[in-house]
Amino acid sequence: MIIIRNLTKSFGRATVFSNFNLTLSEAKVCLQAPNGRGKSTLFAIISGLDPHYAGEVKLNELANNRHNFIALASDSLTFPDFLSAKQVLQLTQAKWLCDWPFELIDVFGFELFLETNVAALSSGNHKKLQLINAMMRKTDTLILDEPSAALDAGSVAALLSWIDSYQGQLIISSHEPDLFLEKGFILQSLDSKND
Amino acid sequence: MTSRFLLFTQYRYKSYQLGVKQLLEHVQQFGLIVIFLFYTAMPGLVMLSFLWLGKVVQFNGQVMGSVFHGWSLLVLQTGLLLTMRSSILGMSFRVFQRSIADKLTRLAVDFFLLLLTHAPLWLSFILLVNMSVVQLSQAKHFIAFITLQLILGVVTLYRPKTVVILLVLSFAMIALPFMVWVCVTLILCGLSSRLHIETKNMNSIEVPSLKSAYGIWAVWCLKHKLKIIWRLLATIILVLVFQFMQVQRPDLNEVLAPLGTSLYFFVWLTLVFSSRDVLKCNQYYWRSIELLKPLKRSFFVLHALVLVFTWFVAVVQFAWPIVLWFWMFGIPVLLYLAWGSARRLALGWCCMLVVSYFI
Repeated sequence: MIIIRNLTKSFGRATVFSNFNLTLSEAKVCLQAPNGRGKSTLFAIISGLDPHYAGEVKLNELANNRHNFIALASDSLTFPDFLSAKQVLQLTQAKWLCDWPFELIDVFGFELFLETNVAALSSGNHKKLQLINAMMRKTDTLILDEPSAALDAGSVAALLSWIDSYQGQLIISSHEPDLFLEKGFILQSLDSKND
Repeated sequence: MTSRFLLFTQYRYKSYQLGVKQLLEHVQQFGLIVIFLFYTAMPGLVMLSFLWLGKVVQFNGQVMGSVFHGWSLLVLQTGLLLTMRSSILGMSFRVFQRSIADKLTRLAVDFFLLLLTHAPLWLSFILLVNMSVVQLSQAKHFIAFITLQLILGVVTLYRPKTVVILLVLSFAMIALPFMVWVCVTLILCGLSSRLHIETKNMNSIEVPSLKSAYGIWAVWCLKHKLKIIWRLLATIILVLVFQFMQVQRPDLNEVLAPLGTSLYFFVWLTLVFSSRDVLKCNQYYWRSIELLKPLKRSFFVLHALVLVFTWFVAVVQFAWPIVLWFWMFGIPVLLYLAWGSARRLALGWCCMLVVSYFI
C-alpha cells in the first residue's frame, strides 16, 4: 500500500502538487488524470527516484529507499543514449542481481534491437525497453506509466498476458483504460478524495 | 518552383537563426565578458586573423611553417563548423526537410547556410580580393588553400569524422620526419589487407566493462570520440601558438602563462557541458540502479585529472611560474561552476584570469 501525505512539489515557480494526499491500496490501480497534471512526476516520487519534494510518501510503512522495492517504467526515466539497449538491461541486471529477461525479450519481440543504441530506438521499442527494464526486476510493486502507448498489438497482448501472471501491486496510468479494466484494474482519479 | 525554393530557404534560414540563437545563449555571458575585457583589442584581434592568414600566403622558403599555419586554420574552421553543423543542417528536422524539398534544393540551401557561417572563408576571400595580380601569381597556393577551406567545410557538414581523420593524418604528415612517415605508410600498406578484412569487426569490438562508473565513462568517450579529438587538436594548436609567442617574446612569459593556461583549461572545461547531460538528463535511471553518486564522483575525478594534466603541460611550458598554482587550486571551483551553468563558468573563468594578473 502506498500512502502520500501533504505532498508538495514544484518546478521553479510552477507548483504541481500542493499538500496533496493519496492512498493507493488496491492491487491493480489505473490512475486517471488529464495530460500535464503530474502523473509521471508522482510516479517518480513514489518510486523514490525524485527526492526533491516536501511531505510524506510511504510504501508499506517504509519511507526511505523505496527504489529498492518499486520498479518504474516511464518516459520520465530516460536511458542514456550512448548505451545500447542490451547494456541498459545488463546494468539493471548487475545491480539487482536478477535473471536475464529472455522471456520478456522474446514476448515483446525485442531480440533484434538489443544491440541498438537507445538513441536509435523507435518510440515503440523505447517503450518495450522501459517495460522490460522494470518488469525484469520482479519487485513487489511495479509502476507502469502509459504502458500500452506506442506498442504494437502483439506487444499489448503480451503485456496484458504478463499482467495476468503478476502477483504484486501494479499501478499504471493510461488514457485508454478499457483494456486494463478487463484485467481487474480499478480506476482512480489523481484528484479523488479517497483518504 | 522558385517560390517553393524561396519558401524552403526562408524556413531553413529561420531554423538556422533559431539554432544559432540557442547556441549563443550558452555562450552569451562568456562572449559579453570577453568583449568587455578585450573590447579595445577587438580590432587588433581581427587584424591578427589577417596576419595569421598572411602567414599562409607568405611562403618565404619556410614551406613547413606556412603549411602548419594553414593546417591550424583548417582545424579552427572545422571546430567552428562542427559546432554550427546542427544549426546549418537543421539536424533535428532532416526528415521533415526531405518531405518538403528535393535533394538539389536541400543541398543548395545547405551550401548557402554554410557560406553564411564560414567566417574563416570570408576572411580569406577578403584577403584574396585585396591582393594584386602580381601577389596572386606569387601565392597560387593561397587559392588552393581557399578551395580546401570550402571543400573541407562541405565535407565537415556531411562527413565530420572524415575531416577529423584527414586533419589527424595531415598533422602526422607535417609533424613526422619524412622517412618515418614513409616507414609508417609502408607498414600500413603491409597491414592494409588485414585491416580491410577486420574493418567489419570493428563495430563489434568488446566495449569497456560497465561494471564501474569509470567503465561507463569509457563507453561515453568511445561514443563521443570527436569531442575528445577536436579538443586534443585545439590544445596542441594552442600549445604550439604559445610556444611560438614565447620564442618571439621570451620577456612576456609572465603575461603569457595565465592566458595560455586559462585557454587550455577553457578548451577542456567545455567538455563538462556535454558530459554533465549524461547525469542530469538520465538521473532517474542512474538513481534507479544506484549509480548516480558513483557517476557524479567519477565525473568530477576524471575532469579534474584532465585539467591537472593540462595544468602540468602549462607549468612545464611556462617554466613553473607561481601564478599557475592559483589555477591549480582553482580547478575544483571551475568544475563546480561548469557543472552549474555556462554563464557561471564564464564569469568564474574571467574573474580567475583577471585575478591571476594581480598576483
